[in-house]
Amino acid sequence: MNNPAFTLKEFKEIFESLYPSLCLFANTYVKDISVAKDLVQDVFIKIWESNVKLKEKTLTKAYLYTSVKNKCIDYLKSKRVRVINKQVEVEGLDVLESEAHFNREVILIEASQIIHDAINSLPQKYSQVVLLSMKNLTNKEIAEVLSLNINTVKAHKKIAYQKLRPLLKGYYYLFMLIFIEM
Amino acid sequence: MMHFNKILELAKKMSRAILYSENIESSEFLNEKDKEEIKNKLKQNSSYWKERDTILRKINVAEDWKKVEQKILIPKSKTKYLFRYAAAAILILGLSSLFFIFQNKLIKQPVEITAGTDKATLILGNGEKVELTQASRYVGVNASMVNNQLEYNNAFQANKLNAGVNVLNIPRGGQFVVQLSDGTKVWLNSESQLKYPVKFNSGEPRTVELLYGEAYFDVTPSSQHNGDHFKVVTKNQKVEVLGTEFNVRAYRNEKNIFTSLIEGSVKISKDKITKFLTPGFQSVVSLNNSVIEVKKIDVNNEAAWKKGLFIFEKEPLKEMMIELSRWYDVEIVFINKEKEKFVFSGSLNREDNIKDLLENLEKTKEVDFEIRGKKIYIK
Repeated sequence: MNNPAFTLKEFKEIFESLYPSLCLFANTYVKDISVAKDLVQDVFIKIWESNVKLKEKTLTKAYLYTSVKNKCIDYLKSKRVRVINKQVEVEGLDVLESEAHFNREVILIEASQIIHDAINSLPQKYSQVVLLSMKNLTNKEIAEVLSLNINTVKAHKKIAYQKLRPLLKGYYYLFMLIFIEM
Repeated sequence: MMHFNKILELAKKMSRAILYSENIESSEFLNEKDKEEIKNKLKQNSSYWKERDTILRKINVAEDWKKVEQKILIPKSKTKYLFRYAAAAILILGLSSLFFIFQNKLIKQPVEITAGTDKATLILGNGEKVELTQASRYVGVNASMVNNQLEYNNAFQANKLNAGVNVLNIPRGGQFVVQLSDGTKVWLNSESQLKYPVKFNSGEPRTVELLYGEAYFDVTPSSQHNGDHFKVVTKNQKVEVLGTEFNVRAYRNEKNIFTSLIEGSVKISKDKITKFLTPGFQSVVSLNNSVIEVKKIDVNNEAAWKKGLFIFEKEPLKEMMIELSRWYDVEIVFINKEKEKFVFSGSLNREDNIKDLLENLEKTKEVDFEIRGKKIYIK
């Protein structure tokens, strides 16, 4: 089955780069990682099958995050956890459906990913300094903890921030400004 | 879309602020409480990072891509696909507020009771029988298996040799989807029979007959067929429609025919009485008298079978077991007749093992089940 929007290879690349984050995101709704994984896989399958017309050959994060959210809400509704007075109600569904939940979890997951990638991109001697400084330790305290000269700490920090700059700048351009029609 | 880009921008700003230990600006997209929560988790909370790591370890991207790849290269039918949506099933005892989460415990039994599958027998105009399953590659003169459903072709020229009426017979433990020559789609439940012409005559109502059983219709609008209405005839009632979705339930051993409207509008008639249904309503036609009762229903429950679920809402155990017996193809024996009237609510994924449901019912301490071969005894 062919999809005119992407080649299988392109689709695989999108999957590989976004699948873990989307699973984490789905998990904030369904609180069960194996269910979350199934739902995210379903979203990818549906996108492939539905011949989504894309103006660009890239899927937006916005589209994927929104689809995953909708899928999770549908799933929770289908579970139909019911209360005795016959009203169909899934506990806390209104909270999960809110924009605040969506924004908070997307930001947390995306920021975690950036920080994780940033730290991992640094050689250990620099990442140690950054990690401790993230915990609000002063340069002096970091120097004590790592048994380093305070000037070394300052120098490491400077180099680390220089190395991080390009990473933090261009991060999202891959996924931006692409419009999808269903 | 712009809104989402702003959220991503904010995530980036926050990560930078955290990595550089700078202050985080306020934003309209994040209230102060959530901002503090995110900041605390990312900055100092090692249990947050540990938990994230634990979850990520459970995700195998390469393995899961294989699963996705398999599905997109060999597409499944839509109906089959819907079964997966309801992964966990929850059973609730109707009269108390207890509920139990299903656990996948299997009891070893010599004869396995299995859930039903897609299967049907197609009876052609000349009496020839064709056994169909999901995997069938049947290609006939006017119909063939496409995407696990039987599809009638509207383009073929009807003549005396190939015109006529076909019957689709769904056994116990079966279900099937057929697309008629006018594009109308019919989902057939276990133990049902549908009779229909291979091609509808223009200028006449498109008429099909539900000989017995349960069927969900997604009817193509009359406007696409020169105004020809669609009619579903059952033994005791007629349903006339203009293009709509509805479910008809007319089982042989039930005293009533239920027609539930999901979308559009239908006209129900029995003898000389006529009633119109609006979405969300169900008509009940009794075989014994000439009354059509109309009541409001939860349409999700009514068409649940089509989505791969059983949903019981304050259902007497007897009715519940009859419905289950059709799909799992088992015989139900009530040793204690009193239990027939016990009322339960709950839902079950049609692909699940029936034993899971029985075990959970037993946990209510109201009933006991014993399985012997293909018979279920209720004590």
